[in-house]
Amino acid sequence: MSALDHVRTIASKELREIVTNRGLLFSGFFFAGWFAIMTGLGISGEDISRANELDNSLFYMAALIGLFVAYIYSGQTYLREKQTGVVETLLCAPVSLRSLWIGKAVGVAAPAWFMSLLAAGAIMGIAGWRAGETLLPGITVTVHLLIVVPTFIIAAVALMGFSQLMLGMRENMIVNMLTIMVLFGALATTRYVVQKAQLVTWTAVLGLLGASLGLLLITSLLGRFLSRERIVRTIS
Amino acid sequence: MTVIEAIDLTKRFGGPSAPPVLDAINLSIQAGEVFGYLGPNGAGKTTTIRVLLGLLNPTRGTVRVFGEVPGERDAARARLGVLLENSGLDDRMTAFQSLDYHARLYGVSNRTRRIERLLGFVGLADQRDLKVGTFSTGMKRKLGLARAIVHDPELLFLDEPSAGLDPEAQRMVRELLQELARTRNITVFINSHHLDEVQRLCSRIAILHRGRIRACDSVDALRRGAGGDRIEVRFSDAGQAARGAQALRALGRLPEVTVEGDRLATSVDGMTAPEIVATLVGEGLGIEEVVRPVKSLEDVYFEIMREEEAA
Repeated sequence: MSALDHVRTIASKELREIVTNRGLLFSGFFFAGWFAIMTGLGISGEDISRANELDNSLFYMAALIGLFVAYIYSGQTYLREKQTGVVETLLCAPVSLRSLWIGKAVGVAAPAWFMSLLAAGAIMGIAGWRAGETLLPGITVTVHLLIVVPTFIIAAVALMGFSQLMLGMRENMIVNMLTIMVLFGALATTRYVVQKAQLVTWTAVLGLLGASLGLLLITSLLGRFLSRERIVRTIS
Repeated sequence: MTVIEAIDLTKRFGGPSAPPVLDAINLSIQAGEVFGYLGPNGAGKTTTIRVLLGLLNPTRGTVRVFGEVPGERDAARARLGVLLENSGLDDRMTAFQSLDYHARLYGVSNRTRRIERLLGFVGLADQRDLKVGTFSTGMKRKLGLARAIVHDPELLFLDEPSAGLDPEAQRMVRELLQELARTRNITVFINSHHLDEVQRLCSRIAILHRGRIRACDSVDALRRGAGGDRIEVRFSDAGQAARGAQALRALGRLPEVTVEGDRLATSVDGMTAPEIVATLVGEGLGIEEVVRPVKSLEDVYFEIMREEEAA
């Protein structure tokens, strides 16, 4: 079996576990829906044009919602298997550590991206309903939603997965609390960010894409520090 | 063919001043053996399995499994089956999905047929679509065993295979393992502190205490060897026992001959048991019974543990 087959097998298992878990699905829909509704209702077009504000909101919120949902799902994928000890058995399989890690990242990132797209659709729908017209995103935001956001989510999930596999349970609790604080802090600043007239530019979109690819590269390099021994010794 | 070989295997967690969890372990396990690794909690049994599986690196010494450094090549792990203390099953998957997932990772062909046969083998055919989370500990253990052999491994590592099971489930798991060893001729390495289980299953055992192997031999040899191979002879009366002792002592080949009532006891060291009996018969003594007392594995185990604690 090739490494790609392993990644596909692991990713599809994780994906199936997420989409068949009502609790996980509900929390994904709840957070994506809640933030999308709040954002959609907040698009007033008072300070900048409605279309501009929608683009800003989609640019900022799609990535953030995707990241938030991915954070919830990654805990169930990496950390839960480590807590229950299931990962130790997987480490004995003829699968490379990298395939295991990436497979899980893909399995988590795919539904998280789907949730962010749903949220983006909801934001557009609500903003359009309030404006009494159909509001569609500009080309930069469309590229952002279809290319940059999934890259950003998968880079973030890979980093979260790395830290969850690498660190002990106590360290992971601290990292989780910090992640939650950063995420809520970012969500709390939404209003200030989306009111800026020139937020969504090609520079910003390509800059975030570059940053995401850079994060992927850094995470990939960090992967060299990940070993079976490290994971096993931080299980309990 | 040597399947597992460990030479001077030492493992420490922490710096060089940390006490060794495994201390100069030497092991050589041949193909087809069912090898028992006995020891109390904290003796280093699980650490040994983890090193043999390539999950931990030895601090010193060399380890080879099928002639290779464990964990060095991902594909080499396909020859190994593993049932660790945690059965390695995801509670959210069904029994079938769980086996299917592992079968895919190991590249098993004809998966569905094989999984259904295995579920039948472990007695879980009717539970194939139930979530593992709803299973009892015994059912999880059996499914874990099915998972461990789903790819037909050549070497099976079992860490406390009957841990947490009631006696009935323990017997079921034991019977499954006996059937496996008999029908598939695979090499099995069993970590356990269930002496009865090891005695029934294993052809050879090692007893581990505080990271060191204190004894390693076949079960029979260990039972006979502990405290020396002895013979007891019961005569028709005490006088005959005394005469027998006198005759044996006169030969000067036995280190110690004791008499207690109508019984004579001596270690079989210097003369064989048939020679001893022939000498006594030659003296014209009326022998009622000859007994070769053999200690149970439990006696041997606790004797070793006591000696180690005293040391």
